[in-house]
Amino acid sequence: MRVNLGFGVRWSLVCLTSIFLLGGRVGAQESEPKASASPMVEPIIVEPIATVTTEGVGKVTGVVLERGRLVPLRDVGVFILPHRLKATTDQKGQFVFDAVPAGPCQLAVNAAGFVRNETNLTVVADETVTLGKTLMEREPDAGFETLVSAKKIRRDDSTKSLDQKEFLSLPGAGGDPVKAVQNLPGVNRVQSFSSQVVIQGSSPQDTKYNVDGHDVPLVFHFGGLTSVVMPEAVEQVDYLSAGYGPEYSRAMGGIISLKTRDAEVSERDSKGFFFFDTLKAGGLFETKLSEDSSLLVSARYSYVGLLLAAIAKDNDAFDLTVAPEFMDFTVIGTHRLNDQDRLRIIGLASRDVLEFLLKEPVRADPGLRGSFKNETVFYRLIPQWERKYGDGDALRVSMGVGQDSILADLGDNYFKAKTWVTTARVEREQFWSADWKAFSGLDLSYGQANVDVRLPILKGDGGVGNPISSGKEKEVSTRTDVIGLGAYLRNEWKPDGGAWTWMPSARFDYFNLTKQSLLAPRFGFKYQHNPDLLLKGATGLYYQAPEPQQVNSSFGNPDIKAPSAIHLTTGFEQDLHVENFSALSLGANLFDREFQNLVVDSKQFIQRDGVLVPEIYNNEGRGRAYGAEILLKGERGTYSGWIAYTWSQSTRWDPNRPEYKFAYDQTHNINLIGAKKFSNDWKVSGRYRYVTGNPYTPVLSSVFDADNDTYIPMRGPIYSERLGAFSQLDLRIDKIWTKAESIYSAYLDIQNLLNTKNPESLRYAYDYSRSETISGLPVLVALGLKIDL
Amino acid sequence: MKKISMTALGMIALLCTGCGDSDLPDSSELGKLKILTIKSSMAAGDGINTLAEYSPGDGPITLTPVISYLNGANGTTLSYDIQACVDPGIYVGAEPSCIGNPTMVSVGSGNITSLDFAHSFTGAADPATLTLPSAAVIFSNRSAVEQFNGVTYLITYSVTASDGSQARSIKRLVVSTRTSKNFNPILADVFGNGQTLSSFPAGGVVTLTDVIGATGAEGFQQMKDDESLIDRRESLVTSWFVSDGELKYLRTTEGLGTELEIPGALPTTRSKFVIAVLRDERGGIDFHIKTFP
Repeated sequence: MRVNLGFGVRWSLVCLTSIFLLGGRVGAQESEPKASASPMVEPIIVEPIATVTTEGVGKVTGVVLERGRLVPLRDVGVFILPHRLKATTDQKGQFVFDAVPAGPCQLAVNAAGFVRNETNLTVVADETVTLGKTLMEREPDAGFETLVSAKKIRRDDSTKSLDQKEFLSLPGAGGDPVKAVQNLPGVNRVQSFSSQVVIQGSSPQDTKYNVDGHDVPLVFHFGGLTSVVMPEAVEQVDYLSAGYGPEYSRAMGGIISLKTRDAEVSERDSKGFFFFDTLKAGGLFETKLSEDSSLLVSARYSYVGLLLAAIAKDNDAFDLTVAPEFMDFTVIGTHRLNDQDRLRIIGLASRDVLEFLLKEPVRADPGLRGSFKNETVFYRLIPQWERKYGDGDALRVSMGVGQDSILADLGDNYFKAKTWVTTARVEREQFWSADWKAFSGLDLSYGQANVDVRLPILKGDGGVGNPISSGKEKEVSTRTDVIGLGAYLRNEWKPDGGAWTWMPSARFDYFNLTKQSLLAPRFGFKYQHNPDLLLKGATGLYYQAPEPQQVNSSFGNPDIKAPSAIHLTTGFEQDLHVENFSALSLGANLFDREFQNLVVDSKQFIQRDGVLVPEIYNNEGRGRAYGAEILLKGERGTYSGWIAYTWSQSTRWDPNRPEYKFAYDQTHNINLIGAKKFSNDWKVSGRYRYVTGNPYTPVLSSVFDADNDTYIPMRGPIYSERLGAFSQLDLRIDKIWTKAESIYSAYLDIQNLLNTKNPESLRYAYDYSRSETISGLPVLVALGLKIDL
Repeated sequence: MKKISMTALGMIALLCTGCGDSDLPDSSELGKLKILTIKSSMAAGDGINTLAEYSPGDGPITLTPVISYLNGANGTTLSYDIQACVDPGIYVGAEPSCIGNPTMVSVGSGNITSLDFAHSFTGAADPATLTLPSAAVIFSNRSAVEQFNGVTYLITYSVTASDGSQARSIKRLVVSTRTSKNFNPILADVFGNGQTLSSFPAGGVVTLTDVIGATGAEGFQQMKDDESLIDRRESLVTSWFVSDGELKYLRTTEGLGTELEIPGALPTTRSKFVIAVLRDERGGIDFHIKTFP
């Protein structure tokens, strides 16, 4: 079989083809019907229901598989009629009838959730009839995943999680786990093409990202198109918000954590898929290496650049010299050493590149001109070892080793950074008594960054930047060691196994950038009022190291200290039992964050080492973000959906001005998601979002910079005005075609179905005398096809 | 790391901005009261070049603003006000103003006599002169690196029309210990279709190119924070302004021209202008004004 993508992307073809061919070959081996039962197979139970008298008997064998997925169906009843013989399939789906009367008969297979299968056959005395594969078709409406999944495994009650079943089919998220998180309560809406996640009124820089517990430099490919790990290789995405536990730190906002999955080989030894959509193509292959080992490999390549290049072809303003592209690669190997020990190794690699040439300087800022290139490459190797003890105790050790390489050529300026990164986590999970469980661990990181930079020191205010031309250029080559040493102790004390659980915890962090040793107490509780109602609360202190450039003596202030936040949250989770609803739950939280020592821009000059220097940053910022969030999820028959609503306020202070709204202060944030399953594996789902418009700073006038032919904006009160509200309807249609030995899945994802002109920001005239609104995405149609083999 | 993500985002935004339609005016348009540039100069002693970079106490330094106010009505008068001070740190976000600055001095103020309705209020305005403060003032507590690369002395220039229109501008004088000072670049002429631009044909399309003096872009040294020196070369960028018509490119870099599409109907009550301003992005400036009756 050949796949003609028609995009001329050689790399992707090679990759896809090899994945496909490998998957296809293995599949073919597996699908060969067995002539007889394998010696490894357990004895087939044959239950003669009636005594048969005949002149001869023959043998009948076969295998029962699920149509499309080719998964063996075990413990399924197989009957020979009219002789009323019965066999039950083994774990490989195989069955054997040793003595079937010669002559015509009928084989009937019954399995719960599947359409009954009947096959006519003729048995010859003393011979074996090998039926090969009996493919069982799922009953209508039994094949689609639901939006409302079972409760996730989570340590923290402040954690919100989405599993693969959920995030793959959420409308508007394009199947991406991190974009799907943006549907959850407490997550602020970010602009189109943003690569950031903003949590509960915090700053984008207050969110950290990790894969399997180890930091990665970015979670999205450029423009926020998709996250850097193929969604199908992710088991679960966790979103840790206010009050998260001591296992993580260095993030005042929260953590986005992707958990990769092992190869799924419990039902089939090998399988895989490939896909392509309007932006990218890729594939995933997973296989059993031995009884104790498995391997998963996935890769993606984006051809979005070809589309952009086509758009830019006749543009007078710029040439796309290298069309933007991204690719990522994931490999996950697992090996069970024995009943106690398990090894896992995860390899991640990601590359984004974009290069273009401006034919004239940018009209608003002549400092931006010439060739531009941005390339971000990172890879991580994450070995993990887990030992589980019989008494519920466990030991987990893991490392993250890799390199981040960032190149940004910005006309005459540049930023080149190459960072060797090593992170390590060790955790001991221990029952200290029957009602006291403790998690103690280390969370260590070391990065050695070699940076060459020529950039202007440039400050704006209130989200309105000054032109690059008006900055003061600095050229620096530096090596920076970034060390973070963390240790934590988490306790879960459930007195007498009762309803209350108390979680007194603490975390210690050392940041070499600020030379600070910091102790952060944290505390949580939960009260299981009844099996359906959980009350919970948490508080704690959270420190975050400043960004390396903020403590750099050339571009920042080496005396900057770590900012901190105090989190406070409380809420409940209630399972509701309502007639006709198969699942209905309600959760609500209140959250409050007090930010201290925030790093803010300074316009002052100070004496340092006897000379007058710009302070650039200081720690005189404060802030507060508080609000309430509600999540109602339900499923009734073929309908499912959720309502997520957040009300919040986020403000900041600094010495030079009174309280002002934060850039991501969004009073109301509503996400309505609904899905309906139809017969023949159709599903239609939709999402509606309404979010209060972001605050912005008005520009009242400007001053001409005669040296640079640009204008310096004169700002009004900071963040004193708001953009219009954001309102968007997204629609997604999914369809699955189940063929005999493959499954075709297609989706149509339409973002902004109503083509609402949502204001995202303002674009100013060269002298700020006029402005116009920049709208977000128009109708955006994504079409994808996935083929499971 | 996030900063770099934002860089990528910025690039995407740049692409989108480039593609997007906009009704906002271009910087090349002349009409309302605007300051096009301010050239500072001091004789270099070679009879050819003028200095754009200075030492403490240098003077007299001549400031020549270029102004345009095509929309100014007959009878309108223009006045100016010039102040100077040590740069309060515009690059770190300080207001581009000398008000409240302890080093502020008034350089001059009064009516602009060189531009009136007959000149369409467009051209070089009355020059002003100043002398720089001593090193004790301008280099006070500044590091050796900053003294070498240059401490900026800020000039604020505001022009007010009698009809209430106002324009404000800043100009930085680079004051350094560097021995090889920066010269103002020389914009010798403006060519139209390969020859000196001598007409403004209605309905025509003219390829405009700048004719840059032989000195061209200069090399210079810059001191890094570790006090090591690196060799750099300045970039010359020309900004174009036209009273009538539409330009393909509003700014051009060395050797590249732009196209001017002149409308079929031109105003008869005022002159037509093509103005080019050449900058070396180190404070060096020259300009050339073509006036067509």
